[in-house]
Amino acid sequence: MENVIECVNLTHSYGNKLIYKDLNFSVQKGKIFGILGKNGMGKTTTINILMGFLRPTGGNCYVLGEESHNLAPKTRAKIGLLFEGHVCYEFMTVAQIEKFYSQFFPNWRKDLYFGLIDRLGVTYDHKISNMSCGQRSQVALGLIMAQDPELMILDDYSMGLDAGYRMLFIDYLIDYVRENNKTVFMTSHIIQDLEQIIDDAIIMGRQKIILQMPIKEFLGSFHQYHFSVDGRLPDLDFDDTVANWESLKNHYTVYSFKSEKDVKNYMSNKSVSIQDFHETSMNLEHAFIGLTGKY
Amino acid sequence: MNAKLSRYSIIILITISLSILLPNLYWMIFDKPLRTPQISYSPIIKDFVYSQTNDNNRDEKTYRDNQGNSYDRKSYEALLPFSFYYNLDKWGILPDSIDGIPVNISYIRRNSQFVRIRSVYFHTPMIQLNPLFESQSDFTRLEMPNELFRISDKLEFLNARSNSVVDSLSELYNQAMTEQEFQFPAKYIAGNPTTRKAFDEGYFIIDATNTVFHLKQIKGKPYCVRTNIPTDLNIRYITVQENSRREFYAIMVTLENDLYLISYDDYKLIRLPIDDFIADEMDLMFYIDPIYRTFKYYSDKELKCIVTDHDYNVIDTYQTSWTPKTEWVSSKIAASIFPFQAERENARTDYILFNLKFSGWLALIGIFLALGITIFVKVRIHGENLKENWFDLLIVAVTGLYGALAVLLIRPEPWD
Amino acid sequence: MFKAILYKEWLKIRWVVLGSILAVLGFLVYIGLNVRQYFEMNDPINVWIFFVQQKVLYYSILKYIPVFIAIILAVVQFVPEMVKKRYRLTFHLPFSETKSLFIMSFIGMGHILLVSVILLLGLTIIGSIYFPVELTASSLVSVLPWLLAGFASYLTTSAVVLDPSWKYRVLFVLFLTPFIQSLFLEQGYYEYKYSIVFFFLISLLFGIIILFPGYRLRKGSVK
Repeated sequence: MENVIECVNLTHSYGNKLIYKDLNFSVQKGKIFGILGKNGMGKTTTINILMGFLRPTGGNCYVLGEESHNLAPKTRAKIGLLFEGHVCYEFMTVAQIEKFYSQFFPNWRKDLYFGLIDRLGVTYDHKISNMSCGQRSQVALGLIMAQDPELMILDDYSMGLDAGYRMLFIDYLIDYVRENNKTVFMTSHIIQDLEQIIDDAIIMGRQKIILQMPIKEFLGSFHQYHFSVDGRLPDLDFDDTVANWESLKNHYTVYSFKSEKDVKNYMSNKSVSIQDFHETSMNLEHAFIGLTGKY
Repeated sequence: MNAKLSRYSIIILITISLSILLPNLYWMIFDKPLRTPQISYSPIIKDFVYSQTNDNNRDEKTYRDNQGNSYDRKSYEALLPFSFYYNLDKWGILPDSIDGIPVNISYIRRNSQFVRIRSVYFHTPMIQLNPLFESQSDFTRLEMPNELFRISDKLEFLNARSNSVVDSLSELYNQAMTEQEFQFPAKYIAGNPTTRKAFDEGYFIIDATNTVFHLKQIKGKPYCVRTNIPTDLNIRYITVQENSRREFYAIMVTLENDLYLISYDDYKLIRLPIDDFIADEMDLMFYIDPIYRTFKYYSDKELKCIVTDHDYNVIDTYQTSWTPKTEWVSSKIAASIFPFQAERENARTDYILFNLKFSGWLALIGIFLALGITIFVKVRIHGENLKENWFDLLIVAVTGLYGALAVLLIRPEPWD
Repeated sequence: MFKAILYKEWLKIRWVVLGSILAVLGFLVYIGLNVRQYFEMNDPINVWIFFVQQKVLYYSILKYIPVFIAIILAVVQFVPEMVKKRYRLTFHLPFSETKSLFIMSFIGMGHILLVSVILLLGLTIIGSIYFPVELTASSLVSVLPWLLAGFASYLTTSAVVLDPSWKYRVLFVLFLTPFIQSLFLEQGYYEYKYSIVFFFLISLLFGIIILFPGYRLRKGSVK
């Protein structure tokens, strides 16, 4: 299966500030790929590079086989972009924007666009600047779908949307993507939404990728253990066993990729008595925070 | 590569703008006025006298004669009764006569005339539409006619109210001119299209065969004379001077820089005794007073004065020169900083120019400096590889400081 | 796809196009009325002498109008492309970025050309009513530098709006305007007779300045 996106030793700095160095990841055809990370960890940088609006200071980023910042126009036709805030030509009306875009794409699926628009219940001469964020996101989605691209890159589709529109967006997106075997690369601040959509994820940390694996695998192998101690434990190190930890008084929470048994053993080596050791399950949001920390 | 070319076009435009802006700023700081002396010939001491602003105290003037004597202002003016007669009369020291000629204010005024020919007169746009006045009207004042005439392959009068050709009038004059064997089209027309003169002498018109014609309107009828002014003179400029002295109709300048008066005596030419006049580089002032004719002409670096008698025989000459602006230290420094300076206007023309005045060999200093600065900033501060964008250095080598600023401010990008 | 871009630009600029045509016609009518008043209140011959011999320009009110229209047009055309990073939409279209920028600026220049032609036609009509053909011809030649300044101002303003950094915006304004200012030095007619060709040739360079800020915008350069 060929890689729709391939990043090799990707490095970027803004002036003297290094964002990250030697990032490597790839996205296979037909997958929905999510990039997660706290603010400032390089999510925006990465997606800007992928979208071709930033030239990396080092390394290469290939999209559909070409350098992302230098894509041939024909290749760009196969990529659909959604910019945060549903950026589009707001001075146009619903009908005008369709008339504009349809002339650029030979495979334009007019029915998909108007199918989505009709559900909004707006007239075709409704100016986009007069629409709500949610309605605009539907217009943007409709335009991408009508473009019928091989790859869709969605930068924070959820910006400005309330729960209802978020769900609407995801429903349509999943439906469209599965049916047409599209590849998607996306980010979002609402991690909970991503859980139901994405296949694979990378999680960005300080200047590197912390985690790169399918979501199911992540959720299956990442555990949250709780226990309490008598007295006080010294601060735990971050190592193979302890990915992250928190404490409140004498109650500890440890996040780990290791099994319950391994962690118990690890703790007993610290010569402290542990009580009430148990695991709780996590959704993606909890797992993410568990891995990256609350701050 | 498109963006590269675009950067260079921006750089070239900025370079050109800087060649306008920077010299302007420089001269705004370093310019000084040229203080040339005022020369006159005194009929009292029969020698040249001059006044000049003091070098050390710009509020004061010195007054001297050619022998080096100093005067105060009053005694200086007393040496020049034909110029300062009002003052001398007020002070009661106007002489009764000079050289046997009785002197009083009205006599002086009646026998004085002044003509100025500036080089800019040769370089000014002027649409040739002129009024032909009635030169012998029953009424005292000259009146504007209702038409302006033009001459191309025929003479046409255009009525200003109807904005159309007046056929009858035009026909009348065309006939009069053809009778004098005027060959159309006209090459040159000279006259004074103003009512602010004592009387009117019409126009001097040069036809296709270089013959000079004199055209007037007398009692409503055309008056056209074919003069016998030689046709091989290459006349470049004629200025008509309607003066009640009626000595000459006009002054002529030829392409060979000879000056002639067209006299009232059947248009006989009087050649003026000036051999080194250069019309494009000099301004000329011609003074006539009851005794003398004085010619003062000056360029950017020298002034000459010739005094003659009534018959234009030279009596005395005077010459002085000064460092022209191009030789000033500030000009030399400017030449070493700026390899060229854009000149859009100058005092000798009314046309807008786009001249790049090159600074000669001194420019090499500025260019080396600019190249040095450019290379230093690019390599040491910007960390660039000089081989990429090498054309930048070529631009600096040609345009010096301007290119350096442009190339360093509009920095190259990592090109695809 | 050229039609699509034309369509988009038209949606943005249609009111400026209409407004500026009306404004220009308004100014021409004003000039016509003003000239008419000269002839009404004075002897026609004196009016001719005034304009021919004293070289007063009866149309000097037009001087900065092409520049003014040009700046407004460039702002109305390109600011909506920059707001909220919308230039990404244009650059992601399956169409050469260079061609997009060129087409957009040609459309703008097309409007400036239209305004210029209207001005020249208007002056010709007014001249043919009131003035000898020599004076009318002089008005057309004397107006040319101001029209040229309109084109140069349009392209400069476009570059200023497009560039992502304030440093370059300021540089463009500071160092491109002296050249444009050189087109306004006249005091009488025909003064640009000998130099207008040079100014025109140099002005051709303005035609491609827009690509450099466009490139910097495209690559995310923020020097």
